[in-house]
This record gives sequence, structure tokens and C-alpha cells, in this order.
Amino acid sequence: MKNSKIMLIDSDSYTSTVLFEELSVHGFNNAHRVSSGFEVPIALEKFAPDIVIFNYHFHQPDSLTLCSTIKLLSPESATMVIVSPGPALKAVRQWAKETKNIDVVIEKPLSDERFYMMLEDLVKLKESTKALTNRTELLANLVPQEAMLAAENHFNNEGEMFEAAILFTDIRRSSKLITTMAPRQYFEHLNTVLSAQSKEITRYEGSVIKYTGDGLMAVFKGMGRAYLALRCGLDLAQAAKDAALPYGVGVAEGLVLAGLIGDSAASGQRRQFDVIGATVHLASRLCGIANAGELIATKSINQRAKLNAPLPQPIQSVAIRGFDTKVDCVGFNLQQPQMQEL
Amino acid sequence: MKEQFNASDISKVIDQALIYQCACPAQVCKSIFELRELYDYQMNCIGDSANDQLVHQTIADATEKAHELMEKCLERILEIEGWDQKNFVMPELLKKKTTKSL
Repeated sequence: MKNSKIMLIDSDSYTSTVLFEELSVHGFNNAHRVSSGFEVPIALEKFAPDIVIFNYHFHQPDSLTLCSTIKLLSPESATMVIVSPGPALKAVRQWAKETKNIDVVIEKPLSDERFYMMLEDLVKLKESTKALTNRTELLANLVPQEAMLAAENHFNNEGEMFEAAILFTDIRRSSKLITTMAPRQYFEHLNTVLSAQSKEITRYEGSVIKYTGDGLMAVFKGMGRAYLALRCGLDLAQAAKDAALPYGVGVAEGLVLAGLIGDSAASGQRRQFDVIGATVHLASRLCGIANAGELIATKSINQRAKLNAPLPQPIQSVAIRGFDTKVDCVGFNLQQPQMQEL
Repeated sequence: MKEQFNASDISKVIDQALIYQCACPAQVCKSIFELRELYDYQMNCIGDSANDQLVHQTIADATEKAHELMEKCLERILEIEGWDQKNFVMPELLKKKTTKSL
């Protein structure tokens, strides 16, 4: 806790020295002193303090604007203002209320017990906020954005139904590859391929719902979903020819249901966000029949996407396992020379 | 209420006496501010009813006396410690003594 970075702003050299030495006596050795407001922006950038202690002097009322500068340039830093009682205290409290740029106001003269108790509380608060932010960032990488939103909005057990384009990718002959490659090497290749796919999906405003082991599932929502999903699928199929592990792509569009799977009433039970429905199964099956570097999509999504190029190969009445009726599809094999639309 | 020291003078003394253990004049200054607040508060309260008026006037009178006494006390201690009583600047000797004691 005593390693926290403290920046002390005080225009008076005597009080600045007293406070700086006081901090040092109490073990706060990672402190930095600033005497003029002009130095503050550079000092904030270089020192990146956890806590800023600002010694406010009654005869410099304009210096309060520094608190706004601190919050603007270093929003992560907590600001503590030390102020004399009476009119100065009233002015600082009013400023804090109006601007919300001051975290703690403490009265002079400083009593050791009160000052260091507040300082330590502020340091603890900063540390727990930092830990929470790091955890949230870590979680954001592990959990789909939709799942985070669902959890934040206290998704009920019924889930949400909406129209979406679903995209699947899957590595071809993965069983053979994994038995011929060293596991670590396969893992590295898989990580590279899936990371690149995920990046493309984000670029086309899609969202990766899950990694399926040898591929991924993504969802595209909104008005332009058909175009974005197909365009993304084509770029992925194109990239498959240079990928360390070859893969196929499948795309379909229709009604899906998104929600958290798992019992919400049982505390501690793991819940998982998923998107389900016939459209999801269809996209997965289409991906299953696509060759490496090939995109297979339903004819209907291709018509809605209205792509100018490349021209697809029609695949009439495809029998899909689990579906009663045959589905008209189109295939884009980007490993072969494509006919361009004139 | 008659004021010998204005808010700026008193704040200047407190601003220089930052730390509690070397801030006895600042304690006196703090009391003066508190007495002023108490007096203002009583002035706002006077006029509610006959009984209340007597209560608040009694407190205001006592506060005024206490305030005068504390202002005299501040004048005297600033003189003893050798403060510049025109600009309210802490004497260098006192500053050195404070810094040395840390």
C-alpha cells in the first residue's frame, strides 16, 4: 500500500516540505512534488499518480481549477484536497459538489490519525478499483460481449429472440492434423488461425459467440447483417488458403434465440451464454460440407446480401442432416479462379 | 459581531500551520471560524418565537464574548511567536523548528 504513487501539489515551499517529509516519515516514499500548476500536466503524464494531494491555499482561489485538470488528464488518479476551515472549506466543498472532480476533502490542520486513515482508505479504494478493472478486462476477453450485456441486464430465463446471420468456421481434417503435429504446435497454429478469424469478424461488426474447438461461431445483427456476414465469410475463406490450418466457412440467416444457459436460481452454478435455433444448426451443417477455403451460404442470404462479386456457384436442393426440406445454397470456392461479375 | 481579523488573515495562518502538532495558532483560528459560524447560525434562528429568541440571543451574546476573547488570544500568540502581523507570515525560526522536528 505504501508503494502507491502520490503526487503532492503545493505552491508554498514550506508547507510542501513539511507535508512531503511527513509522508516519508509515514512510509509513503513513492511521492513526487509539484509547486506550480504549469508543471501539473507533464507531471501527471510522467508520474501517473494513484493519489494526488492538493494543498489548497485560501489566497489562490483560482487554483481549484487544477482539480478539473487532474480529472481530465488522469481520470484514474484519486484527488484529495487539504483546505483550511471556514470560507475556504465551503468554497472547496461547493466546487467538489458541482464538478465531482474531488474525491476527498480534508480540513487543516491535519491530524495524523484522520489524515493517514483517509489516505490509506483512498489507497485501498484505488487498489480494489484497479483490481476490478483488470478483472473486467480479463473477463471481457473470455466472455462474448453479448454475454456481458446479458448478465448486466439481468437476462431472464426466457432469452431474447432476434433475426441474425450466423457464421461458422471449422478446420478441415483436424483429427488427422492433430495426430500428425505436436500438440503444442497444433495449439499455436489453432490460436493464430482463430485469432485472425476473430479479428476479421470484429472488423465486420460481428461478435464471436464461442470457439468450437476447431473453429468458431459468430453472430451478425442489425440491418446490414446479411452483407456483413457474407463479406466477412468471403474474406475468411480467402484467407484460408494461406492459413496454417485449412478451414471451411458456412453462413445462414434467420431467427435465433440468445440467452444464458444454466439455472439462475442456483447460486454458484455456472451459466453460459449461447445462441441457439434452427438457423444455427443450418449454418453449422453448411460449414461442415464446405471444403477448405470454401464458403457455403444459403441462397436466401446471398440474395439479400446483394454482393457484386465474386459470383457464386449455385448448389441446388442440398439435403441437410436434421432438416426435413432441402435447402438451396450457393458456394464460393476461393481456392479456384473466380468469375468476376462484369 | 466585531471582527479584528478577516477570513483571509485567519486562513493564511491555518494554511501555514499544516500539521496538527505544530499548529496551535491554527487551532485558535479554527475556533474563531467556528464561533463565527455559530454566531451566524444564532442570528438566523432569532425571531422564531419569544422563548426561542431569548435562547438564541443568550447563545449569540456568549459567542460574541468568546470570539472577542479568542481573537485577543490569537493576537497575543502571534506576537509571542513573532509572526509578521501585517502579512500574517510565519517566522522563519518557527518554520525551521517545525521542519527539524519531523
